Amino acid sequence: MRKHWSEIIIVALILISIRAGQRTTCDAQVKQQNLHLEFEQLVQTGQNSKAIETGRVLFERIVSKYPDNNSLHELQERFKVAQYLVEFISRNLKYRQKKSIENAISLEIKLELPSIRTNEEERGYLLEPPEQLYWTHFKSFSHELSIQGVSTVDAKFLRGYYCLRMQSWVREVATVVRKVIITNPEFSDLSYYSFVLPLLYIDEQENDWKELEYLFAFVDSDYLDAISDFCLLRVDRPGASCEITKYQAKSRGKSFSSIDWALTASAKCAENHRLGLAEKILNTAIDAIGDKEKVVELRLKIAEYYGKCGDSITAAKRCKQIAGDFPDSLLYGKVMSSYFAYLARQLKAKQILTEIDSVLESPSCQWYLSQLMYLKWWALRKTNQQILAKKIGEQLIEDHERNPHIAPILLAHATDALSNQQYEKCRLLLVRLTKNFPETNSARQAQKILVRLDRK
Amino acid sequence: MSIFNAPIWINWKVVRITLTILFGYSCLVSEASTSFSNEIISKNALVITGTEFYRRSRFDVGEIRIFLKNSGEEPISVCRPEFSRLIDIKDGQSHKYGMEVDYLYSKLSPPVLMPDRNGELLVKLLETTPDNSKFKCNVYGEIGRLSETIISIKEAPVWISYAGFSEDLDKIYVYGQNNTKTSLKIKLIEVAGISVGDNYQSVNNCLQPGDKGCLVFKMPNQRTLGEYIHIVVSAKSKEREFQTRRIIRAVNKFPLSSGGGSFSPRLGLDSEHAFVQIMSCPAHAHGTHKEAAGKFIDDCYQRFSQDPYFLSKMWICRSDKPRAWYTFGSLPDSAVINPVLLVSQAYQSNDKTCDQFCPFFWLATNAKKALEPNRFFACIPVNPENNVFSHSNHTPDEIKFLVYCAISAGAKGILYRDTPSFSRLSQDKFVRLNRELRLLKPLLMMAEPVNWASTADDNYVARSLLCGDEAILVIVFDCRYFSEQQNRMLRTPAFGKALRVVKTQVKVPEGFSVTEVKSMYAPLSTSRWRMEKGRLDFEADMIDSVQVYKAILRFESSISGTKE
Repeated sequence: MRKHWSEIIIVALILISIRAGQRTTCDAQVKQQNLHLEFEQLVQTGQNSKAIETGRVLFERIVSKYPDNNSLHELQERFKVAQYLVEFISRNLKYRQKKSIENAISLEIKLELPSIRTNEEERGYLLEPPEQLYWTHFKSFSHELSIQGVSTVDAKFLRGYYCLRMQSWVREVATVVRKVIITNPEFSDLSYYSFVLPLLYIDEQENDWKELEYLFAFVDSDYLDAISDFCLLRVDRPGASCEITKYQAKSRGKSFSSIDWALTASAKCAENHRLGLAEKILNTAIDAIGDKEKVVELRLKIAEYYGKCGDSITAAKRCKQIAGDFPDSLLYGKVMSSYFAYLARQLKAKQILTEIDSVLESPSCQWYLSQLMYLKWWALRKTNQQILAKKIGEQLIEDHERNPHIAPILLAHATDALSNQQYEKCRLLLVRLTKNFPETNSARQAQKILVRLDRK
Repeated sequence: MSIFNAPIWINWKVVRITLTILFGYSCLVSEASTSFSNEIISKNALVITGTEFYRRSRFDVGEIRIFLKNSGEEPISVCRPEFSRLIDIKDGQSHKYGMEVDYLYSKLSPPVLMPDRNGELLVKLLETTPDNSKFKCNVYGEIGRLSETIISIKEAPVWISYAGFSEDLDKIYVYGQNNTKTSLKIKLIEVAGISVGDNYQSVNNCLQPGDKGCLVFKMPNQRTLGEYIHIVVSAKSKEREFQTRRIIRAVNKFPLSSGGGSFSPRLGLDSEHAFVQIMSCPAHAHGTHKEAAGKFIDDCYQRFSQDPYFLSKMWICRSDKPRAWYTFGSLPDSAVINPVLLVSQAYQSNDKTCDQFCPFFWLATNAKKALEPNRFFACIPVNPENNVFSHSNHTPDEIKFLVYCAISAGAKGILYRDTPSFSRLSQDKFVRLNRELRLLKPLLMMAEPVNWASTADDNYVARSLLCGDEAILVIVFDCRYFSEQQNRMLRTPAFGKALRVVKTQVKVPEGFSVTEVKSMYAPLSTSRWRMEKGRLDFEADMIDSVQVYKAILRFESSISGTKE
């Protein structure tokens, strides 16, 4: 009987504890709902710091609610990185600001001030370059943040809290940087640090800078170009670079052309040997335009960049592809003459001779005839077909008297005459060359030969 | 008939043999003495304390160093050596004199040898002499012949490749390189007239063939910038012991400026320069090579009379490189050389070892060797002309690559050619590079390249510099820079930016441990480096063309009976 009673008591206790647990869970859910509401209200009323406080409590609860959720771990990792960056940049820049003020104050006044203790850790170290900070932490932000495995309400909160938290940190860093630069304009190069966290936070595909556009206004207008270049060349973010240029144009009341920007930006990339990036930018611009001739022009630009950087093989390949894709383009002749020029740079004289005759006959190449003929002349000389070369050379000299392409031909004919001891003929050709094309390399060479001839 | 009363018949044959034996014996004694650097012949006030022959590379014809001491009471200046080649006679017992051998120049350091002071007469030969050739050398001063000695053309087993100083000029770092095919142990004997005994620190002093070690000595007094300091080092192998000497200048400067001489602190460059330019450039100006060298030496003597502490500088340009660098490299205290230009034939004919990861490094190594133990300043073109070994203007990443190529080869100063015409972004990067160099200056002043570092990734190369007993600098290069060649031009291919972690290994000298590994920005966390069995392993974060790391050394135990 006693045993029976004890069993009843145990069951009752279990039931009570389950009920209590249910009530606690209910209470927790209510509390969480309240926090959700409170957070939303605070965000809506613009009380961001309070919203962050509330959000932090809620975030911790959600994290403990879903201990094995990977997307939450990713989010935590991003917060960790962001917090580290804020602390790192703020600490270092505040130290610089202190030093700057210290240096600005005269020695007498300085003696009256308590001595500023230097941070031992910072002594002997440089501030990590902004691109290094970016790339070191890029992995944590490299793919789109997708919050999964949590309730819809929690997911909504997490997205909102993430944005709020990030934007708050971005503002914190930007304010510190701004203060340092105001104290000492020589520290303008610190402006880059304002953009490390935003560039990690804002995805290149979305490229939505609306909430952070104020950052552009924080930077001295002269320095915005440098920031734009930084985004483009140091951290491979052409979208951000484009946004800054767009903002600059807007603030100066000028119109903005994405094609012009693509041309300028790709040229900068090419100058910095970032050909892949240059090509990507121009291809994005090409995708957005319908004008066939403009497409050919931009694709030819890509080939030119490769050529300028010394990669004549890829440049020739690109030209060949353009010619194949747009055989009836108005720029066909230009494309083909560029193609042969890149082959010439590779010293592929035989290939030029094999392919050039059909191109010379093409009516769309007539505008580029002198250049194409010159390339043929060069290829013939290179393959020791002197008689044919001489014939084409003379024809070129006759037909294109004022075209600078004939300068090297004149020089070659002059040196041929010199080797045949036809000094007068040589002199006449050289004089003609120096007179008609004084700015060419051939003319400079001719001048030297003339000096030697005069000594004879 | 008493033997004493007997008529004296001179047996000329016996006399000749006796004299030949005596002369041969005297030559052998003097030769042996020179090899072991003891005093040989003392005529008048000048004592020859040793001689040495060294050929710096296959581009060098070689040079002879005669170590002297003024034991008289008057200062001695303007020494002129005169050489006659000795040809071995078949019986090996004696020598006969050959023709007088001409040389390009001879230089006395210091230019005036005060009483009781040591000096060094450097003689640059005009042509390579066969191994084991012997010379009789007479040294003439203003008043006539001062000394004579026999010199054997046999390379010295140890070569003093560099002697650096601490910032306050009270610590000297002497680096020796093993030139033999067996291991050697080096010891510091004397610095500035002080017998150091055991009161110095050895770093890797048991040298494997080709390896370098450092001997660190804290001097009782600070030295003066530009002071001539006499050092004596001994090298001991199983078979024998050898002593070498050197006269070096006390220098604690690492110039960082623009070649045009315009000082720009805004760009992070120095505002002053300690070296006085005497000549530019003997390879293609100032007459024949002999005349140019003579003019340089005369100018130095003249300036020395006004300021005995002045430090000379010479520009040696692209004409006949790298041979011209070896021809004139021994003359000045420092020379500015452009290691970015390339003689492609010379480079191509050279075996590409792992050391020669880049033509610019190869050139800088040659420039360094040509100047040893004096200083080579790298002239880095910022806005290159059309005829240099690159297509367009260098990007800041490429400039950084070129600068560290020179530094890892042992450059002791950087002079940018022209003022850079950069965009703001590039200028900021350039300034950051200069800040980095300024921070490294104290270590670079004492540093010497050692072949101790490597990476586990073929796309990256690590070079190391031993900084005395203080640190090992490890410079990791991204080999994709300047890796493509087209139409005899080097260029950097296009590639995207990303962080790459490169596993790097460095040999740590015996008796030392690594207490910390630092990048230029922060210490590496302990999880990213490990030191075990004399080897340091760490992870280098590569984003830029070059990344620099410092492994801080700590002396753990005495390995050679020496102590600090």
